[in-house]
Amino acid sequence: MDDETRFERYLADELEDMAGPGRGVDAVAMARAVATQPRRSRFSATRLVLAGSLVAIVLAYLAVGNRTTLPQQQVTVPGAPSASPSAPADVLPGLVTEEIEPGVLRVVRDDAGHDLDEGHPDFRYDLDTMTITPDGTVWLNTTYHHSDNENGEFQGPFIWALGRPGVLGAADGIPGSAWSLIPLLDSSILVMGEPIVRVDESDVAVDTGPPVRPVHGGTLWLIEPEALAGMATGETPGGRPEMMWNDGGWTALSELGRSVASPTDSCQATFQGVACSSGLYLAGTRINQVAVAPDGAIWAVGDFEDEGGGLYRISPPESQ
Amino acid sequence: MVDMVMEALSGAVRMDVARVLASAAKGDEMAFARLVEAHDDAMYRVCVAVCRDHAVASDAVQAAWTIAWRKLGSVRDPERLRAWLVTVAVNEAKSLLKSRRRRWLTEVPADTSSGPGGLDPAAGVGSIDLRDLLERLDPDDRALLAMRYVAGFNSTELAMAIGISPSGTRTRLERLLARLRRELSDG
Repeated sequence: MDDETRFERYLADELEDMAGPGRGVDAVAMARAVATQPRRSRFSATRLVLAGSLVAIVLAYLAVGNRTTLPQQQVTVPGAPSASPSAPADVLPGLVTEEIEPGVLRVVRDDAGHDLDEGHPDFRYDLDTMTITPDGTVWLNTTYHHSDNENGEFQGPFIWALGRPGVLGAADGIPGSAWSLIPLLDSSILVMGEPIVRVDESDVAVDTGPPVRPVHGGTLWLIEPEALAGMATGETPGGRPEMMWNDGGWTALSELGRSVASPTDSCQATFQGVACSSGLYLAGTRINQVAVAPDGAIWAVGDFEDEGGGLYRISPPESQ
Repeated sequence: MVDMVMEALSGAVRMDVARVLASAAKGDEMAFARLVEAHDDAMYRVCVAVCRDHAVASDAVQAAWTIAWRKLGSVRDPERLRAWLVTVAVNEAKSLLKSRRRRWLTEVPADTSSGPGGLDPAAGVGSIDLRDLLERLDPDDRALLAMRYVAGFNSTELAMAIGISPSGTRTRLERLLARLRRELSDG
């Protein structure tokens, strides 16, 4: 036996030892289990991911009946352990998160039935656009991943809010062309598509508002440029029919969500991460949109581990 | 005469596998259970070698069977079934591994002088070093080795699993073995 063959035998023995014995599965029970389970939910006896230092805080917070929307102020729970330096001091009630890097949490799921790790049926959601309303609610526009559209029952965009039950889709009146989400002053949202619809809690209705109106973050214009004849030079937008004037310039809605500014930071969504004045977060990760929350945190949607399902919260620089 | 009998038997076995596969693909639970019985151990053991975690391996294999239940019809050639199942399980394991971001601490056994993993003067390597090297390998490389040496994949099956040509697979495997031998002798 030459050295090479002897080495391979040795390697094989070591690998066999690492692999250990089989698990003696009950084949009939396994077949029954897979045949009767609903569309893809990944088996996981040990998958629960919690920011450990937040466990007691979240449980205590839920116990007093508070839930869902992001708090505007820090909440102190008596007896709760202090948060780790990389976890936000304020609470994210009902959210299961994992720390991706210092100051950056990824949302795994909420307490309203949304699990971002779940496949639909095979792949995690593509998180396309987002917005945050004045009350702090995080709204998301998600779609099935390409190949899942062939396997799933729905293909169109789904609009839903973190911490609120339900997912709104085509059957609810969400247009198939839905893309940008615009936060309104009363914390409802406009879903830009054909037609434009307004979503208030779980009610969906075709928008009948004025073509020019104040919204959270600026003024929304929904008129063709040709209709703006007579305006002063410099006040007419470019060739796009849907623009937003945010007291500093015009922004095409297709660009909305690509960059945001908070009191302490300004950030841009890139295909290589979230580029902020405070630094680059989620380096190498494709990020689709960013939004700023009332507490100054930057939220981002995009990929996670080269697949969809990436919803992130970046703590304000002064709290990191 | 013996060759004829063996050929007839193996032909019968192939027909049986094809029949079971076809039935399972149509939703026959008992046929599917036969596939589970035949292949679960190999899938599980390879996943344990890849991800070094029995719970993750178990999750990966269960996820693989769920995928298999839906997509068994895409396996045209029964002889590719085993490789397909193990590959699906390994892909699930690697995906779970990435999402869990586990870092493994390898326990060094107190006694390394006996057993199949003991010191082999002829090979010039120690069990602890080789195990340590294997533990530190990239999961993709460990998967390649596990499929080859635990599941016994041939070059064609390995090629199907990792998506390159059989000759490319052999080259990659040879390079990996050479690297392991070099690191062991350097260490």
